[in-house]
Amino acid sequence: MKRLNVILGLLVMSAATYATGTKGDDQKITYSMPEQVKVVFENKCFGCHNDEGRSDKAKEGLNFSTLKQLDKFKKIASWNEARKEVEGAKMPPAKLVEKHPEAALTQEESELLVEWIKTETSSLLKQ
Amino acid sequence: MTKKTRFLLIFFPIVIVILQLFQPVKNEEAASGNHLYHKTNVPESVHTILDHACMDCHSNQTNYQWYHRISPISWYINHHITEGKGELNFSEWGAINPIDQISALEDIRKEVDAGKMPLKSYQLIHKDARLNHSQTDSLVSWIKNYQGKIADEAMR
Ligand code: HEC
Repeated sequence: MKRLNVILGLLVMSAATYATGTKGDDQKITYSMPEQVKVVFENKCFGCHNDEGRSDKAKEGLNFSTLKQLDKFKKIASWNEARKEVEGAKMPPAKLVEKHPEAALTQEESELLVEWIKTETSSLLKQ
Repeated sequence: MTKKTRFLLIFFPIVIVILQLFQPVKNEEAASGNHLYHKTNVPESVHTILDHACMDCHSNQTNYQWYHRISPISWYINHHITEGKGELNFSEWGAINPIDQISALEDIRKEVDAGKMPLKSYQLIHKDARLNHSQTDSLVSWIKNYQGKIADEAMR
């Protein structure tokens, strides 16, 4: 029984790893933000939205690898798009969530991201 | 003439005539104070670009041609207008907040840069909607300017 649990645990972990594309736990997002927000972005979004992601469309929409270098208006636009996606429950994609329910954002995570993005875009606007 | 062609020759015009009884609601509201043109001073060159290439689908004021009033073309056009306005409506520009305005301008820049807007089917018929390099350039530099202005105003 114990062995079965271990195997199951490993399976769930590898599924989660696959879903989020995480490999190690080194810092992935260099954009400055509160740790609790960063954790959510890294676990639920970064996997597709970085230079090494598989989908070009995902990178074009939001790319955590280059976000920091963008000018202020492009940053505002990127974050604002991200907010709309999360608010409208369009991201993570339904197809992924269907296969990997744990890839979904919880209600609290989604609210946390939306609130932080709103603060970030307002402060960018006034910089 | 076979019976079948005779039938079609009579039947087809009747269908077309009946189709004319069903028309979408026209997209022809009076422009309100929320229109982009009332919110900021758009330079002449950019004004012309937006009028010729975008406003038919992205405002509440479509400039209809006679053939746009013929069903089923009218429905085809109407579909583009509803979808286009859903994404971006210059007639309601003043109703969105500065952050959404800056993002919308960024979106416009991307779409035009990538040659995705105006829609290809539209360019086919509207020659003056095809944008050349200098037009794209003036649109892009206006966007940068205007984004700066929006941010300046937000700081006050
Ligand atoms: C013939 C109608 C038509 C014309 C003309 C047109 N558009 Fe569009 N536009 C659409 C439709 C339909 C959509 C939504 C579907 C899509 O994105 O293809 C859209 C979407 C958009 C979007 C949102 C794209 C996205 O996916 O975020 C932007 C921005 C845009 N248009 C800008 C423009 C600009 C700028 C012009 C003029 C240079 C223009 N459009 C001309 C019909 C039109």
